Amino acid sequence: MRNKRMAALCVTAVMAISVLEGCGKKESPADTTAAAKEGQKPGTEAVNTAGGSEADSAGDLYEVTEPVTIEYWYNGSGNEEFYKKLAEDFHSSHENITVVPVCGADYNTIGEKLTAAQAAGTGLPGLCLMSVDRLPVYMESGVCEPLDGYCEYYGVDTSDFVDAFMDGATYEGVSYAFPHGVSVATFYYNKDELSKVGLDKFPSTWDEFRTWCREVYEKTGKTAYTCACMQNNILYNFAYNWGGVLIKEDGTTGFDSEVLKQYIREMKELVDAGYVEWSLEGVEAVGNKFLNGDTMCMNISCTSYSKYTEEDFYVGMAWNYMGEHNISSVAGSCMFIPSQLDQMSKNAAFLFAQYLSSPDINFEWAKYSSYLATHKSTIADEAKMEEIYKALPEMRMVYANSDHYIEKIKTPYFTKAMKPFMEAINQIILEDADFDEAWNHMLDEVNYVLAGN
Amino acid sequence: MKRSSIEEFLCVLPAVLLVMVTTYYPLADLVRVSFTDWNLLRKDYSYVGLKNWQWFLENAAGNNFYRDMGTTLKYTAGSVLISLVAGLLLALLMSRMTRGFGAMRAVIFLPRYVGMSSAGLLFLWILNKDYGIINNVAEMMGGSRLAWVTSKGLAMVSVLMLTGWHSVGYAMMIYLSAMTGIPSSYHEAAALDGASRTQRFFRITLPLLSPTVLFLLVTTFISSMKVFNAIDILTGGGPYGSTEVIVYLIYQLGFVDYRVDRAAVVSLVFFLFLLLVTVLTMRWSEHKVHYDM
Repeated sequence: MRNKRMAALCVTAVMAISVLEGCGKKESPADTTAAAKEGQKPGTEAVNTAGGSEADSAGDLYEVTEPVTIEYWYNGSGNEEFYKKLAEDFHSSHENITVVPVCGADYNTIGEKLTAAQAAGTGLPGLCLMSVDRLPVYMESGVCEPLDGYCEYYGVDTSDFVDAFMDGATYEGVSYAFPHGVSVATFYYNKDELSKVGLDKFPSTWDEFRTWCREVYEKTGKTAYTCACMQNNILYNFAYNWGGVLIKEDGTTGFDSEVLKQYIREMKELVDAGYVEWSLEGVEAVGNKFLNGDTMCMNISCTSYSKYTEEDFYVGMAWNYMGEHNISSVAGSCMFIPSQLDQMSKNAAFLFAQYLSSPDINFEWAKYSSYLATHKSTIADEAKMEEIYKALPEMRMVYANSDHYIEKIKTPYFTKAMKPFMEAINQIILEDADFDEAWNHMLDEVNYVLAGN
Repeated sequence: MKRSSIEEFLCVLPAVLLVMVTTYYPLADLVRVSFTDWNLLRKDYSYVGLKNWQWFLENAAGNNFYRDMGTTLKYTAGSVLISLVAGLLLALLMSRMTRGFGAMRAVIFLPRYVGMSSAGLLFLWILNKDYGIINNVAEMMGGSRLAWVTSKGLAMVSVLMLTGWHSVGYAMMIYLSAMTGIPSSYHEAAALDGASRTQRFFRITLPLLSPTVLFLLVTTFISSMKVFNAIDILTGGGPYGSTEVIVYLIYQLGFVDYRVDRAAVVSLVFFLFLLLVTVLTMRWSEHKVHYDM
């Protein structure tokens, strides 16, 4: 009986400890994007889509003549106060329009909710922020309201947006969205730690990078570089810079590049030697590893930089992708208006979108968040840019490379087609899969997806 | 019809209507949707006959249906085993009806009240390769750190750890309630006849628990086949699709590809499979389960 009691106590203790394990942690190294899934689903407050009525004359088609309440769905916790203040400021100058900002956990969550609302024809937001990866599907399917008529009526000059950013918001020559949370992926490195061993000059060629990784590992005993290899944007950049394109002109994949294959083999050598970590963990987990000093370098979106300016060590940023093209594709988000809304709500949403994407507000946003300023006029204004650099010093390097931003290839199949590509590379590097077999299988799968299956 | 029959019919009518509206109507509509080309983002659609069923038959392998079905069955086997075996062992361990054991039973049942999303996040932390408590303990004991969630071989084990932790207390409680219903005179008589503890367990307890085992088998089988939340949060179907189950495939078709028509076909095939297995299990149980006390 004593044994039984002891065994029962042990099992109970393990269960109790496992429950308590979740308590008292300020921050989890696990992917906090997943963390947000639980607690921060977008609100379900009904949108007043029935409040407005169709304007019956062409003259006031785009005017807001009655009180309207719209929701603004956006991604990313931490920006609640920023958007709340903007909504209040906007309301003070547009008394008829009340904007309710609703924070979504991530674009998947927003996408799910939007899809359900779209299918149901009710509960749609007035304005929705969506990742540039997903936007082509929405634009192609008629989910987004064409904005050219509104822009003409309200005199919005879309040519002031950086071309590569606005390209992501247009489809077949029609503007459907405005760029807002635009970013590019860059390298981050631990400048303080690396300067102690004389390796704080970031390499500028692939050969230099390989040597640098080995030296960092030997001198610091730490991983030189951690790649968040589940991020399709990061692998897309790598592939592109090494001569692999997702879609060729004939509609099939152009990933079958010998240069790219050679690069992957060499990357695997670095991983096998322990200099580089090819991590299947989420961006947040990789970021935590970097901040904890377990890895000396990583490459993720430049938007993380605003959180890194007050770290215990100096976070350096570097551009070089060490390939043939040296580009970084534009990621982030654009805001659009659902086409199913009533006209009055669409008008109100457009006015808020115009306000949110105006050069002045966008400048404040860029300074606050380390998202990129989206207007050419802002980037050309030295005084404003110096203000941004004062708050975010390393962003100077990111803006200096603006010639190397490219629009991500526009296809409704982007996410689905990138999946087999990422899986093949990861299996080759991490699971020692047979290179040719995995590669040919990947090409078949990507072509299968691109064929519309 | 007798007045009492009409009253009885009216009494059950609300419940029947509720089931019709929430269960049978969606099911019937799913059949209808499977004959359309409905993209969830578009308002209009048309009827395309058997096109989606033809797509399913021709492309099931290309869309990983068979792989995901295999993964689902593998997960279900593990999950059912944990519920039936670990639940029974825990029930035997916690069978004393004292306050102390009552408190311990409550602790073991507690995870059932934790939302699966929260539990998933908790396990992401517990199983984290670099900072997780399991790897810390393993390292202290001379073991190596394992990539629980991100390695192909361990990802499914991680999911089973999570869902097992979450559900084993429930199975224990069901077993315990059934065990308390077994008259103690059976055990006393067997003990007087010289039966050992093991003999009493296998000859009395286990046969009389067979209806409970069947109940747990069927309910755990069906709920395990429909697993989604734990996988979505812990592994996202990865790595390399090694934890991608059928419901995850349906979700991908519906909410990532927006092909709700194809998602409907896969859902219906899956439904028919579950129905078939459940019917066969019930038939088989007619001969194997003892309902007499």
